[in-house]
Amino acid sequence: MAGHSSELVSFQLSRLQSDEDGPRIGRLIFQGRDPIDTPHYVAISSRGAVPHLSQDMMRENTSIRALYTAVEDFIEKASLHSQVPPVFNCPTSADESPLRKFIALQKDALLILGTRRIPPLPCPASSTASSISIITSLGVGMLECTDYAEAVQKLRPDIVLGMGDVLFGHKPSVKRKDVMGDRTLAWLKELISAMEDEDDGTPRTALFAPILPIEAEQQSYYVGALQDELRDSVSGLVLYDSASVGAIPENMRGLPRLYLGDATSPHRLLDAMALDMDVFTVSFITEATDAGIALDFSFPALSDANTVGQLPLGIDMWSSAFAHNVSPLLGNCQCYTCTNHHRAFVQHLLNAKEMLGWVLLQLHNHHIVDEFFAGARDSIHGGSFEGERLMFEKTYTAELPAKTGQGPRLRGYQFRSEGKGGPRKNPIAFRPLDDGKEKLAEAALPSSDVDAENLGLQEFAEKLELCNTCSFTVTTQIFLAVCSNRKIFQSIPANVCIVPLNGHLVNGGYIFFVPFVGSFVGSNMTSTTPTKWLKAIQSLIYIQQIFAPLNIPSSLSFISCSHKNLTLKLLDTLNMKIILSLSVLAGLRLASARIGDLTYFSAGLGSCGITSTGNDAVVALSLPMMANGDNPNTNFMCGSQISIRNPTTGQTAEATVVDTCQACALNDIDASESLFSTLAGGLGAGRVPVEWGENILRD
Amino acid sequence: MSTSSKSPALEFEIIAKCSTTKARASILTLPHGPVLLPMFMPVATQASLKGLTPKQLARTGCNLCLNNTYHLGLKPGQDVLEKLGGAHVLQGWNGNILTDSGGFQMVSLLKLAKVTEEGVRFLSPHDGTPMLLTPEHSISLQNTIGSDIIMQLDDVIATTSPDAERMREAMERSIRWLDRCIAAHKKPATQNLFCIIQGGLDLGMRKVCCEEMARRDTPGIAIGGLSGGEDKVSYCQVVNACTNWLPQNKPRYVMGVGYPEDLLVSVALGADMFDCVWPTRTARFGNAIVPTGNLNLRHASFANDFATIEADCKCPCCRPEEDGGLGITRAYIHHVAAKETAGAHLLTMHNVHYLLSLMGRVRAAIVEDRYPEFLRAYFSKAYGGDMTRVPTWAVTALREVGVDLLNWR
Ligand SMILES: [Zn+2]
Ligand SMILES: [Zn+2]
Repeated sequence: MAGHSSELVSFQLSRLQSDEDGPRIGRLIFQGRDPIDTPHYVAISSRGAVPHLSQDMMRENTSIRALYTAVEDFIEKASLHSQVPPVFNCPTSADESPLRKFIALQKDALLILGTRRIPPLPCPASSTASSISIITSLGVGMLECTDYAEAVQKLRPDIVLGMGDVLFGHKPSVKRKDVMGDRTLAWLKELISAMEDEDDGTPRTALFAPILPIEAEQQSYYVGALQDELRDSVSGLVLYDSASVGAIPENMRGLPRLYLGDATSPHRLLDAMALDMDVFTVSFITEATDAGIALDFSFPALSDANTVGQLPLGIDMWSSAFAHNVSPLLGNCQCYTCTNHHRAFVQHLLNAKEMLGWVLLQLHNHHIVDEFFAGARDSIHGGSFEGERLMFEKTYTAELPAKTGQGPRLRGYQFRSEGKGGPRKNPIAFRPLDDGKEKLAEAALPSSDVDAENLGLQEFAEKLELCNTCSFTVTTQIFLAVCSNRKIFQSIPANVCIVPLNGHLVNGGYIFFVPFVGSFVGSNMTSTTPTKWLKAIQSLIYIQQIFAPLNIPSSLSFISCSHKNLTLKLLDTLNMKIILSLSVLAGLRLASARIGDLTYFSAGLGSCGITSTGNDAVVALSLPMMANGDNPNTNFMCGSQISIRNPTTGQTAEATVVDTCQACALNDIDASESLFSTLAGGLGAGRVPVEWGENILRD
Repeated sequence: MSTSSKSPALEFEIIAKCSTTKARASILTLPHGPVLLPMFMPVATQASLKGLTPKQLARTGCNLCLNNTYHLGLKPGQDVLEKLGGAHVLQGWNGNILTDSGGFQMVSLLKLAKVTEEGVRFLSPHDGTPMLLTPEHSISLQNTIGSDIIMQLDDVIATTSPDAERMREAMERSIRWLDRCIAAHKKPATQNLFCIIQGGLDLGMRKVCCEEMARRDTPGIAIGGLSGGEDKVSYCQVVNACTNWLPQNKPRYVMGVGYPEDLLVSVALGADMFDCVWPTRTARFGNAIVPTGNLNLRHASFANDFATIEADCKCPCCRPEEDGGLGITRAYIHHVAAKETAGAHLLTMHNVHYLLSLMGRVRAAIVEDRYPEFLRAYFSKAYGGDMTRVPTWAVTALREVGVDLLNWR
């Protein structure tokens, strides 16, 4: 194999300690890009942009020198409908990367391509001999090794990370570990040969090979092949776990190491540095930003004799204590935010849920991490790293401050783990039954001395009136309404109050009504198959996941009732239905209790797996409404009928649910062109408010 | 008739007038610098223009933007604004700010709002307690905000309201409230109070209001109560009539207008300033404003469209990389629209830049006295060369001021 990749990239270690676990500093030079002094960080992108930052902001107000992008962010339609990913078609000049052009990454920044987002969402499916499981904004899919190789050929990133057979979210079994090395090796070879086929003597992409997060002896065959056969094709290494540093073969120790491990705090970054990692993806930057936290640490730690106890690693900018505070986020910080704005503004923006708040925090937080790495390099250079690392450990608390405010709106593919070093608080997707039982066991049970039959629409309306005076304070709980009939309200504890407007509820929590469980609404519990119940529970858990990243504490409760028997047992309760929406609760007086905006899209193959045309009366509902599981095609919403009314004109229409609308707010509907025309009197308006409801609920 | 005016905190000078239409090009000098009119003012509701930094906003060519008094009164609140020293300090914006009175927001956002002679009664969105917004409160809050242009509290009702009595009451009350606002205004040396002409679609009432309010000699004048669902023909009639009655030497602001066609026609009818949330709101839904209308970039047909959002646009997104821009493609906006907020930021930048640069070109055309030709070229491009497709209201309104789109020369 040709040793050409070394022409592209060179790595000069200026301090290589004989002591194997000593920290090192180096310089990563990629032809045509700004050199990167290591240790350094790589910014993480989402769909090609650093979250919250438009490309001009990133160029002008950060010192980001390298950007990580994930293939799964660009191939959603391809993975589901075998379409050519649009980014492949991005026209460029001969020596330009279509990916770089597409995402408008500046020329001097290093472009790195990997398979999964960072941090990756755990996939419900496992990998196969030729593919890994991925999650795109359209759902779960598989990434074939050959497709990944094709993406690399087409997109021509500066650095590509070999596709590793790595499990995220849990430990592999012994049996599994055996195949991990074999698969990773086969995939690596496939990638190398594809890259060689493509290049015309001018290589453009350098390959970083995975070192697997398993014991050295379990990957010895793979690593042996790396050093014997593939050494010349590999320009660097990717590590998922700093403990696997021992598996790096002798003749590859001088290669740059990209660390993708879960470094949840600056302490863990220092640990990894001590183990000779060179380049790092730092997912806590965006996590802190989303949490409204301004990072506040420096390396070496500034010693302050007056400090009592440990210093926090960040400042919670939600705090009303900053409302009048016109100092920068940090006194001496030179970032854009700190040199142009003050704490009071950032605090205001967060509280007003203005996007600029997160933009400003993201700039500051990247700057802090930038400075942190610069400090670490100086410290290693000066030989004082180890002592200063210990001092840092002593000076700062172990974890970032907990978030108190609500984060920005996240999309399905953006879920992040909640914890900062702790265990993942988000449940792993779809391990439903046991989880569900556990949740049900802790559910708050309603009192049994109510007369369900006496509660009607009238009283519901009164409750609404009453509740208009509630405070809007967001408190602690999400309640899911599970009920035998529409008279759910008597089962709601007295301290809970309901505000119907916008569907949120206050005084004790949020009520989130399970968004549809299609076919078994209205049917008898006993006639419902266990599979359907499973789906229902899955969708409940999914909702919890939607809320979890928003920092609404995920103490999920089921409020349940059944007028026959108020104990909630999953499989033997008679006549239990899941109440799906406010429209049910409103007593179905209106066929259209939901109010949202109607827009139109061009119908085709939708997430339900049904192909429609613009002439069909079909709609796509919002993400939370659809709550797609691992296979969107089997979503029980699919095929449901809804009625829509344009209150301005009185025009009504019925439609079938066939797709998921990524951009829709909860109650918005995306309609086919003909349906939109019918309701809006033409396509001109583009967006009209409508009322709508689910036909299935007419009982 | 004088073509300039001077107030303690404002200078207004007309530098060119269209020889055919009533369009004017002028310079409005405010405490935070001169503003070239006609101008579109983007709306930074809560002291932030939808994800853009003040620097990014300034780069679109903007030096006068709106803040909403109602929103700032809720968050961060008058107390905080007082301590900080106003909205300029809050948002780090050295350009000019215009604030509304808060009344319109209240009436439109709060269903339970009720107007009495005292002011607007409503229930606090915080805790449901009854509140009252008076002209004095509104001015006090705007004095605290420190905006360069402040608006009187007016009694707004929909122009389409059939109740002529109520309409007259609202118009007359707005005049009485203007007097209370003028009396309550504590900082006339640094802030400019604009009156708001009311009177619905009744030209008689509008005339009375124009005369009464012009007599109060505020530094600038707004034509209010429009863009509330009335038909465009009526809208144009009102604007056209009001600009005839209003003094020439004061800036004229038509509230809530932002569609390109509406702007062009309104300028021809003699209006100078406009604001609208539409360009920024529509950006968040993935819509780009271009000369031929609106592109919904979320539509699948743009997934593989690698053209820039608009070919001739000089905004930071559309300008090619060689010219120091980003060269963002429609396909990329499609990729991030409604998924990453960065996508919304990019489109917001484009849309705001589009309207500001449109008004810049309008101004140049007026200065060079070729505004009729400009109008014709714009409508021709927007409707693919087929002038018969131009909406009748626009054709009619422009004919009123001497421009006939259908029978050109
Ligand atoms: Zn800073
Ligand atoms: Zn543009």
